[in-house]
Amino acid sequence: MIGVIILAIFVSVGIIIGLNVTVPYSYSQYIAVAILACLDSVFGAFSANIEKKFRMNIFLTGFFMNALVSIFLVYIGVKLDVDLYLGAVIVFTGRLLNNFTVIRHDFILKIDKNKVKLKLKDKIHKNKSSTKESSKE
Amino acid sequence: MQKSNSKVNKIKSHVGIINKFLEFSKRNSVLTYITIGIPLFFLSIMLAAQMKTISISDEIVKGKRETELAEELLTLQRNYDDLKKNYDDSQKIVNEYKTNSATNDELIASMQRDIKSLKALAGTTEVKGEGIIITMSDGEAEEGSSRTDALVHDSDLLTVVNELKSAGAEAISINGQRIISTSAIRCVGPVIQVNYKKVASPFEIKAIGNSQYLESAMTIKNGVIDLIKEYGENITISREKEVTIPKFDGTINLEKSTVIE
Repeated sequence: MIGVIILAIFVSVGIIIGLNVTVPYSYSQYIAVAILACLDSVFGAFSANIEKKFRMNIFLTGFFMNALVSIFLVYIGVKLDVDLYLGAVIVFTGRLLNNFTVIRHDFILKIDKNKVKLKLKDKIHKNKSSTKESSKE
Repeated sequence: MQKSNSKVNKIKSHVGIINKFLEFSKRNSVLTYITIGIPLFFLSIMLAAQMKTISISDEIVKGKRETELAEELLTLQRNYDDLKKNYDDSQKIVNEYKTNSATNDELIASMQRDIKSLKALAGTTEVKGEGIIITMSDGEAEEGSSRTDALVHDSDLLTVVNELKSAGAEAISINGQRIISTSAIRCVGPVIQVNYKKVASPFEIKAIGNSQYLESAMTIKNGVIDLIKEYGENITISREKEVTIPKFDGTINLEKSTVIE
């Protein structure tokens, strides 16, 4: 619960600051790609957590390095007059979707498990009650 | 001693709070959340800023970078400057033409005014205005004088016309014959010719001008009219508010004279 509150504070403060910052239009391409990279690493963190492979160092370095490298890619693409940012966009979106599928699978699996558990509990209850009734009789 | 004790106590209490906080944070793994929160903080900044800038600039331009736009702006400015120059030049020309045409119009108008007044003076147009009408007719010969004395002679008409001119008459006609600069009044046998056309008694002399001046010039004592009246001719003078004098109906040909400008 406290974790969610802390994250919410961070995100809301970031949004408030971001709304008061104007990025020059010529840099918006770089920032778009950087955002994709960051989102990818965040979703990657979620999916890694599900697979119990989450490591803070990897998350932090991945978060910042991916953003920087993607910005560098876009920069080179502009210099070479090749739309390299498209490659970054495709890769990151693909990974993002993969991560999201992992999260989804896990979420649905958890729900199913809960349902099975509930059903089992119900069954046990019924059995218990029936046995009790039968014993009374 | 007491002071130092209180200080120590304070520090102890601070340390206690910090320890409690650290324990709390360890239990709830606050540190990991903060480390995750910092990247999220940056991410949210970028997202918000990006969305804002895109929403602002999306309406204005799409897919164009600043350098391209700057170049375009420069070329457009250059074009604008050139066009402005052209426009100014042509505006100047237009203004010149306008002023010229205005002066031309004025010139034409003044020339037309000149033509009008000159025509009136030359007698090639019908004119009207205030003036006087003098009628002269042959009188009955008195006894003891020759009959011809009572007749209206060409010299009488000439003197009357001359007097009218000196009194400021602008247009004169005798029996419908306009007196112009080349008009001759002379006796041809029993009749008088004006503009080579025969006129006979009674003579009606019309003159346009200040009627008061004209009348007083005619009726002055021992003036022209008095002198003529002595011979027994009948003369009447009437002031008119509007006298119409016809135009000269002959032709004016300048054969020998050429205009020197």
